[in-house]
Amino acid sequence: MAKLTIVEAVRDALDTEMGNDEKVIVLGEDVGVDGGVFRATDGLQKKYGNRRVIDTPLAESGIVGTSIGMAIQGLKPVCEIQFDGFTYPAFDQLFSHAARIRNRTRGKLTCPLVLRFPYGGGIRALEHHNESPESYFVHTSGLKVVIPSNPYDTKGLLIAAIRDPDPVIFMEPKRIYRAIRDEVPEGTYTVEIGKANVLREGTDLTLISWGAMVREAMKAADAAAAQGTRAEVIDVRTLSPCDWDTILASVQKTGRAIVVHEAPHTLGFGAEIAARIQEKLLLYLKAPVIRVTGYDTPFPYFKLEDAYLPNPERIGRAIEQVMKF
Amino acid sequence: MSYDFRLPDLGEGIAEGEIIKWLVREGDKVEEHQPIVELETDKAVVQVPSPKSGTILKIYGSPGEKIRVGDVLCTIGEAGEKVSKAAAPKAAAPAKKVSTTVIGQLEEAPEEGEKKVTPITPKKTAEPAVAVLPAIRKLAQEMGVDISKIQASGGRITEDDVRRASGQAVKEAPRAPTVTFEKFGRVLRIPLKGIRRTIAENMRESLSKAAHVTHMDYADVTKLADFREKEKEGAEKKGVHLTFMPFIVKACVLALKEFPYVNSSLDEEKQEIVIKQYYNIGIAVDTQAGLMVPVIHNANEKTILEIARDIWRTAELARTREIQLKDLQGGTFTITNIGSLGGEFATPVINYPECAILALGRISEKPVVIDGKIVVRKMLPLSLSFDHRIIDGAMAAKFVNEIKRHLEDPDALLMGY
Amino acid sequence: MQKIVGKFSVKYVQIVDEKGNVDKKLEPKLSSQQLRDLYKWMVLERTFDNTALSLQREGRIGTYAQSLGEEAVHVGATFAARDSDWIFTDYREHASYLMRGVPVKNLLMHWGGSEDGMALPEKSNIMPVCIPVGTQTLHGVGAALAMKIKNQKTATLTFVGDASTSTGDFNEGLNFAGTFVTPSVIVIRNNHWAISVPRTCHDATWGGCQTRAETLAQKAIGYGFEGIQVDGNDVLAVYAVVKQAMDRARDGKGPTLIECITYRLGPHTTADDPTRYQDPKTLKAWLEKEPLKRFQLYLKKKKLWDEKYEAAVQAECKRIVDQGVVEAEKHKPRPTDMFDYVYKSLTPNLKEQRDEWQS
Repeated sequence: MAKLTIVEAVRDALDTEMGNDEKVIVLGEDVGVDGGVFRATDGLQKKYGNRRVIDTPLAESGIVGTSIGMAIQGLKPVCEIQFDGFTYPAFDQLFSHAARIRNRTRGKLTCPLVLRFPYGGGIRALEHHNESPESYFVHTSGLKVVIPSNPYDTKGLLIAAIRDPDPVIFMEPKRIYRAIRDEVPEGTYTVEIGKANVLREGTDLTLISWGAMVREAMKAADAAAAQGTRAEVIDVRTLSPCDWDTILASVQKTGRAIVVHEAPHTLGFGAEIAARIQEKLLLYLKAPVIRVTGYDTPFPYFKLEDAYLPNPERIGRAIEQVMKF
Repeated sequence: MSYDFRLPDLGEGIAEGEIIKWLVREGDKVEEHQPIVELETDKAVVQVPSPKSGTILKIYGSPGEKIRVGDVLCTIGEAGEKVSKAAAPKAAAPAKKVSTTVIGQLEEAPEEGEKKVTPITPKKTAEPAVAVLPAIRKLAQEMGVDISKIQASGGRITEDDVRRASGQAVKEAPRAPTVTFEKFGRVLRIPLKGIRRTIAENMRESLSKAAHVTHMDYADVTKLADFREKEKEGAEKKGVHLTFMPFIVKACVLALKEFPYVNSSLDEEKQEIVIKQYYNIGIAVDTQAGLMVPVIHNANEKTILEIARDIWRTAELARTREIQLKDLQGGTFTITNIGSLGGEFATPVINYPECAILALGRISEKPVVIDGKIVVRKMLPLSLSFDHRIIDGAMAAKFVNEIKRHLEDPDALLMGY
Repeated sequence: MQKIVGKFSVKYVQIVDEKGNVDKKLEPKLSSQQLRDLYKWMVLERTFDNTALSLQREGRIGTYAQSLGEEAVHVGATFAARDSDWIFTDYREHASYLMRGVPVKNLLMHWGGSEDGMALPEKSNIMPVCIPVGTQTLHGVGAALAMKIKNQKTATLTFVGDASTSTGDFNEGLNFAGTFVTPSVIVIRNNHWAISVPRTCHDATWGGCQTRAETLAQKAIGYGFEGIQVDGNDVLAVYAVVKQAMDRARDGKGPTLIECITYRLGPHTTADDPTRYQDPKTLKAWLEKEPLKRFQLYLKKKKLWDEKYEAAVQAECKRIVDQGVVEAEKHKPRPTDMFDYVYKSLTPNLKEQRDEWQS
């Protein structure tokens, strides 16, 4: 079995599913000849031709809007926006149309597109290249939001996303694009969208996270284990629709929950998780739900990036807090 | 100070390169940004510039050798400086292997793969979680009680359950320390039961709930006494023993009509003052078993004779312990005659949940000043205990004055004004 | 009945060719000092650019976008603007900042990852770097609109790349400019590449290019005003055409779109690898036409340039840039600044988070 990084797993997923289904189209800026600025689409144009792997003009709204048009006509567009901070011009097309076509036509027309983009900070990048905009997408009904944290899940979830009949926002944690190498099966397989993953069992508290923060959570869990605290770690994987059963069952068992995410604190997805936990599990909580997150500021330029991002130390302090409550 | 220049990231996911040729030699002076070595990567030939000006003290790696990001390329310093062999020319563990991309730097995975991320299906826990309100959970924690061992009295574990489990008395009253009377001599212990126990509980309830204040005054009943003397015979003929009590009951009813708040109760639960529009006057009777309060219902509708009859009848029933429950219930105001045994004023306990109780002292002749002259009058001591939660002292005083007015002037009592 | 209701033409201007020969009819009236200033600014930009590239390779700054090859566009256009005119950039116009008195250290602080770099000196009248390309078109036009409302005799100069012309904001910006007759000049740095996507289409029936329009200048016509094409490696042509357009704008005659044909001689950013998509022959050809070399030839013919002069200019520029490096590397941003500039005053959320951060 090959050992792939996350970005290689993206490429593998696209290659695999394009081979399976000729309706799958890849489009975006620099995805064809250049193979993508992170090489996520490397070699695909050579293999499938420039009618299926398309270099577009520089226009994010244009990319998503034309993808919607293609999807309605029966193609399966997998469009790429080069960086998280450039998805904003495409919000209109996503929220006004992609998210609503099925509802607007009572199912007569649907929009099975995938929008994939690298997201998150921690790579010493310029402004607009470090955003975590998942909350906007989760908040918009009609869209699905999927965020893998490792190569195996990446390939399986991306193939599942391409096959999903609804529009899927597939956010790839660029900080760990190449940092993890893992066994990824050849050929086609899927990981179910809408299912979280318990990465580690524990009894004292539940750490809930996604994307690049999963690794930070695991590091914090390791440090806590050395002190005798056993943390259960959940990788949410799909934020919308979210696997509440898994999350709530875990927190009911441990009675303590910490959510870790890069996105700003206010109305980050951690707020929804905390609201739901206290709604359903008030009687089982031994401590308040703590969210370790980015601050309510724009993502800083990279000299202050480490001051902003959650890290194992900050998570560790939160663990102490809930254990001592 | 010599400086070990380690190969920085080269870009594009490239983590190493092969040295093609050195552009400088050991001992050469170099300027900042001056290219010092040519490397070949699988992408292109790259020239690496020096980050500092100075003298190349030591070069590591020869043409054809592979050099990784983080490995020391060369040491730069002052001419003639001694350089100890670079601590670790081959980067033992580059802090993190990084590669540059079009924007930013990505961390590179180590050669050896990391542990595979296998999905886990969590085992079902042996012990189910305990459902309890956070505040109670905290209380249990503070009291050192294990909530998983508590048996809930109702559906969910309550504060009382926790307190009981910890051996504490339930709710407010902390237990008072007990006194050992036997320590000081012989005692006789009689079980508290029956009416005595009921009275004890009633007294405690009344005193703990109502805000007891007592207003005291004399009523000049000289005229009333004459009146009663005059009518005694007529009443006997009707089979009624005429005492002062029926007149006092009537006077009280008239006063209660004037001051309806005295004829009320405080409904604590609903936070309402309940003003009764019926007038049931209780007359405390001392029986062998203890104090009882038969009630004259609707005393406002009865004549003085009828009231007198009722008083006598119920008192008898009370003494023979044949009194019905209905005759003991529904009172709105109570009169207690303590004077029959002597004594003038008292601080009677309100017959809870009524608002007030009137205690009658012994009628006795007293010297009184009227129009500047000392005269002898028959005086009746009145003590009204009232619930200050419902009425104030001013109203209590006015209420008693109203009773007095009727007792001091039988015409007014007759007329009802 | 059928008739032609529209025709258009687009002018192309070149004043100094690759060999340094000048079109005397179009040669602008600039003093020797001014000509040497133009040259010096271009050398300064290139010196800064080379240094920044080295710094990035040495790990001392982060990702950096080179201006290599485009100096004539940045310098020529900025030279044509008055100090009171506002400039709107994207991220390659390093010379524009330097010419507006922004110290080298600020630029390096910015590329070195600190917002303090873009706390620009007052009266520099230039906007901070704008990474979402094309969006600055609207800002430039909006500022021009404000100037018009306030009856100021000033104009705005906005730089965009060729790829930016595909964005919605660029097109909306031009439409606002044309509709409101704003005193705005938009300069397209057509450097032929949007990372790997070429400006022109080679396939008659499919894309993979930026746009099929023959020129970018003609896009203005669609919005009701003039578009001019210029040899972007000819600093005098850029200067002359932009100056004329800025003067017209200030006189209330409305906007102009100026497409400067140049070439991106470096990669898109420091780790882009153009060998993946670029024909090395094309690069070689454009190196021959690069702006500094030709202007040197022009100045030499005018006896304004020699080796001694060159050495002096290079030394002076190196001194300025190196000084900036030293100053920039002394700078450390204050972490609590993260919270203090989001709003005018701290909100309860931010106060709480700032306190938590400090503890």
